[in-house]
Amino acid sequence: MKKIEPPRWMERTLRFLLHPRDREAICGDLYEEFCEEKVRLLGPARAEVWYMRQVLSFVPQKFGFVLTAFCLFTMASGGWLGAMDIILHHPGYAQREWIAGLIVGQAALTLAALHFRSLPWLRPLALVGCAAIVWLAARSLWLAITGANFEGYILLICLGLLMQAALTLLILPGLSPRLPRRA
Amino acid sequence: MAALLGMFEQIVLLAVLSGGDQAYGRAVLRAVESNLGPERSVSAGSVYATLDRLEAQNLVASRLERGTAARRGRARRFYRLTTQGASALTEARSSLDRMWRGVRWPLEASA
Repeated sequence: MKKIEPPRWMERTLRFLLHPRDREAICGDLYEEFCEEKVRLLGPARAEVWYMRQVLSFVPQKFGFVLTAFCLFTMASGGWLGAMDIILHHPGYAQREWIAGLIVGQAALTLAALHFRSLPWLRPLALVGCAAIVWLAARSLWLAITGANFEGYILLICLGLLMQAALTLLILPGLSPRLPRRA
Repeated sequence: MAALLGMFEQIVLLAVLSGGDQAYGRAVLRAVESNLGPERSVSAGSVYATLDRLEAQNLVASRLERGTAARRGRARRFYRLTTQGASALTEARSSLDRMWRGVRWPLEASA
């Protein structure tokens, strides 16, 4: 009978997520557990779900610093947008101050949820905030694309917001309670 | 003074300790899973991140050994408690014992 193994693409994803020092040992541990225990206990399909969950649990260690970088970028962008509107008093600037505040606030909230892990209540707030920045980015992208004047910096900020939201959704739910030693 | 240990760190250290000579990654993961019970899901990422952090704090030490055919020859990383790890775990237990001393059981909420 053919031995049931974890799907190759999942193993490749796991190898990519792991630090080279741990790659062989952790891949081997999870392979062994999958083949010897989980397939027998859960059946092949649920064993694959289990394996995928384990693979995803390594995402925060790998991409935590990338999410931090995106948050700092959107925070700086939001601060810059807000400051420019205060200085230049563009038409409708008061509304744009709210938008700048939302961008800065969400970035700060996400950074706090990522780095102050002893405050788990920050995580659901940051996840809810993702919906707001996705809506904001999608709306702004649409207006930027269909509007008369194409503004490249809006496109850049929107892409930053979308990446921040995607990484937040990927990383925050599986965050371990304490910070790991290395990224 | 030994490092102040969190609950999950204590659980992982105890899993390493109970594994003895056979405390490699998978054994530690299984020990943590079985001791926390089926209602608490434990991810491999959090267990290995904790082991990694404990090793950085010199509370555990590890060594690599050649893998078996059951794991396609991939190496196994075995963990053991260091002297500092044993002291930290002892101190954590002593602190808790001191806190529990004099507490009436079963617990009752004060009005």
